[in-house]
Amino acid sequence: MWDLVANLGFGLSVALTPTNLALCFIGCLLGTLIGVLPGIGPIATIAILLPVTFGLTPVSALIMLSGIYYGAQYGGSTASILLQIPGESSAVVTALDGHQMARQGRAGIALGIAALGSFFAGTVATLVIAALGAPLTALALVFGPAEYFSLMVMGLAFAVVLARGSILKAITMILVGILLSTIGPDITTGQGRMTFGFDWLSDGLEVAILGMGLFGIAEVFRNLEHNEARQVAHGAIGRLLPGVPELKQSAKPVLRGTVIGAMLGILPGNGAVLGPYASYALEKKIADDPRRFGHGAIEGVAGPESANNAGAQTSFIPLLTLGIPPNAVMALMVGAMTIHGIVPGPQVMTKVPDLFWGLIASMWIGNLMLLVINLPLIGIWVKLLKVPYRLLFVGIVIFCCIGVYSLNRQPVDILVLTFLAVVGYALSKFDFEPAPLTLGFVLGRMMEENLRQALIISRGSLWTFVERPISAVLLALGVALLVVAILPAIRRSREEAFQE
Amino acid sequence: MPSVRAPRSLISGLALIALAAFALWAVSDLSQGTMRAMGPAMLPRVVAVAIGVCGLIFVGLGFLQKGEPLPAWELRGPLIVGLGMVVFALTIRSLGFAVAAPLAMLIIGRGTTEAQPRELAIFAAAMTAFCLGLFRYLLDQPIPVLIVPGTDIAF
Amino acid sequence: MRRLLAAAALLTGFATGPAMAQDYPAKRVTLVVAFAPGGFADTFARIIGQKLGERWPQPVIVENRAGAGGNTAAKSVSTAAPDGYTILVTTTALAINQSLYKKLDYTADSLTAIAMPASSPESIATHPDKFKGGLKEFLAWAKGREVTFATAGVGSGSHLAAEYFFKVLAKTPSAHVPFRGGALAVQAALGNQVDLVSSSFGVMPHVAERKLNGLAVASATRVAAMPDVPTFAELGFAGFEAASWVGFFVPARTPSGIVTTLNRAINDIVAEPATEKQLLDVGYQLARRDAAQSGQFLKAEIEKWGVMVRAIGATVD
Repeated sequence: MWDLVANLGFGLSVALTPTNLALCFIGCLLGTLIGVLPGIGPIATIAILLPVTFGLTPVSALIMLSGIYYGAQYGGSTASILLQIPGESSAVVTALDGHQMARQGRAGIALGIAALGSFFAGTVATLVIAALGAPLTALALVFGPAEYFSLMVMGLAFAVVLARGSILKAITMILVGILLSTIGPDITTGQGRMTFGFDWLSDGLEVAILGMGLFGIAEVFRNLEHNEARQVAHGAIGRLLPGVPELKQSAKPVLRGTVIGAMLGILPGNGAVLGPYASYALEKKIADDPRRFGHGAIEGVAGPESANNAGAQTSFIPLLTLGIPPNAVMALMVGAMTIHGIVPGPQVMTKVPDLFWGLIASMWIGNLMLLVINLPLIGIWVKLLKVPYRLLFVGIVIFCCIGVYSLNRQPVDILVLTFLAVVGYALSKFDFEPAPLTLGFVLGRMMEENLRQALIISRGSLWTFVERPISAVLLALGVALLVVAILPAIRRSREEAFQE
Repeated sequence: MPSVRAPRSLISGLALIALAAFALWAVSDLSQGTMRAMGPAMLPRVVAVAIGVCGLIFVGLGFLQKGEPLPAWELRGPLIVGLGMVVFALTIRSLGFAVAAPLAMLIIGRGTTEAQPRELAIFAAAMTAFCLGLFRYLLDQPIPVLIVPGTDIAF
Repeated sequence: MRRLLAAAALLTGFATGPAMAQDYPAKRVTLVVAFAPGGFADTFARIIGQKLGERWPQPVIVENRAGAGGNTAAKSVSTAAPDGYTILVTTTALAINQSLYKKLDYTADSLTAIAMPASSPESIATHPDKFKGGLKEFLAWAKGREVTFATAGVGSGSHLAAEYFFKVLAKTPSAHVPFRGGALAVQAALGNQVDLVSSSFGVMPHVAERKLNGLAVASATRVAAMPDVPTFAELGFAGFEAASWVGFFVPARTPSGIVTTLNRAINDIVAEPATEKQLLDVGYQLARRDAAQSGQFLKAEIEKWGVMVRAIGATVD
């Protein structure tokens, strides 16, 4: 315990120098900005800024680059809540209830609770990293391909719970999502699957395009059916910040989301993507009235946002203690370390303690700064909704186009975006939801890869998924979740059948 | 001949079956592999068959369960907005952002019946300038600004 | 009007003109990285790009164009104008892909090597709980079982080298477990999920910390980052050398003056003491080659990986 305090004190002494404070602030501000813009993710931004950090010390450089990363997590929810344009998979969850809240004139409350929840989660996660980073590493390594596969199966069970309407439709959408995720090079043979020889399909679809097409632009299409009066801005915008009742309502979801997100973030195999979905499913399952979800339930914003930010922070654990990047942004951080002459790996903690503890301390400071940056910004963001929809939608579409173009600089991606938007519009016409599809897409590829790796390692024995205790527990949880979700639906449909 | 009671289910089911068939065709030349060494076609094939089965269920439900009629389509918005996006895609690399963006926005803006041409033109010009400043200069994104075909001018 | 436009073009520095070595670079230079941000090639390109930008009056920008195992970028640069303003930064993948892919829509001949200054040898390692000891003992231990080995992915140098070693040199049954990227393969070994990991610099910090048991490294001499690990040659597999390198390429027919200018600039940057130390610390081996030597090196690499690819019958279409 005393060690922890001493270490954090040391870290603060590194992070609180004027230079590092300023860089942390710049990183957070820039992160917020690019987080708000769909498509321009932290990857592009960090990559572009990497050379700028050459003149800095490694600690200062990493403090700023990390600020961009978790700053983007704060900003990411903004576009989803206000305009329903999620640029990444976690923002898809926030869009579900967050955008509904915005439509009800509660955008400020949704943004506020997202910021507060994220701040709480960030604080807790920072402490977790500082206190338990090293021992948790050992736990993370217990997860092999079999465990990841079972985790993904459990994740897909969440998608069924996530669904608003028919279970059969949700399952169908998950399957379509998995099918889409198999586009691209096959992991064991390198063969292109369903790429039809197109260069732009050779590495599969991008989740950002999927999110912006199925949610963002499809929503624009739907809105264009109605007259101005029925669109996002009602004129009345309501309170700007959450009040006591909202805070009370959100406290427990934030707490649960933080725990879920922090645990999944530790896994080096990018378990963090599951966090927001898991939190949403949990909140919906234990809610007194699950029907509120999808219609502006504040828990559906508070929980997932906390889970997302907690996961974003704890995903630094595998990076700092093992040198293993759990996601593409962290891979870039490995590059940043390398550029600054630091060998990413287990030695970071012992050989460059100022980097290790300084970075951790800066994360908490950064989270505090983000809260200070974001709460006043809410007023500005909400004013965006006052722009008449006849102009606002033009802005949404052009921002999505730029965002998609900047991903790979391939104009054909914009055509894919257009196609997906039409698909998303058609889905909603036939009462299918795009959220389970997105989760199926995000988890599908990881699930398949881990399944195949596990089967090679087990020499083709499916028993490996049950013989390994953690994997068995995860699978059992997934099955239980499915049963709990499906049983009432089956009962209901049978009753309906009898009534007829 | 049973009558269609839920046309939405029926159409969804048929679309899913078509998707499944398309996927099965698309992976038909890939190897299935074994449990020991799964081939590239194994998972897509299994998933496609499952989608096909779901499709069949929806088709069945279309005849069995009473459902809503086919939705009404309002195609004007999606068509015009989609056209604007396509124009943006076709011009961004050949003419540059300074031409592609305002052109696309002028088209997209017509997607609503409430469009006001003058207001839209001003908005498009302002947005173009704003986006150029933001993406090209502040965020340093490699977006071509202006290309004049036939000349050496390219920013 | 024409003069006005010309003046504007001159002012902004993006005017195109005949490429001459003495006034090169006269406009901004683009480094096209064949892989996503964060990898081996990307990191290296950003170091070099930054320093080139400091030396030159023109900006140097890094553009990632990942796809199809590095082929997308290689193809795009091979058809670019041969004026030295579009430079491909790629890895061993360029040499491997020439024989691994059934059909390629470009050839290595359409590219000219500028410099291949850094490489990191492939090595194999096990988890200490799975196996302690040297390579000889490992091969004895592996008798009668099938060695599962994790790598950065199918067709990666780590994969081909390891499979070639087991199949052809050691004649030991093995099963490849491909991961998406070297880091995840190393993770699988750290968690004792697989029998062995084959990787380049990714394993070095872990071997140095004794979290992994390094068996052998496929280079002519031992590596500074893990001096205890013997080379394959020392263990009786003479001549088995494989390394993943990073190289810079321009379209063929680029004026040789420009190629020489670029070669010198890149080599000088790598030889700067601070940069050199940084690269060595991370586990790279450095070599100064002129443009002609780089070209020969590429040819030799294509030949060498071609032998391995054919020997193990690997192919991608």
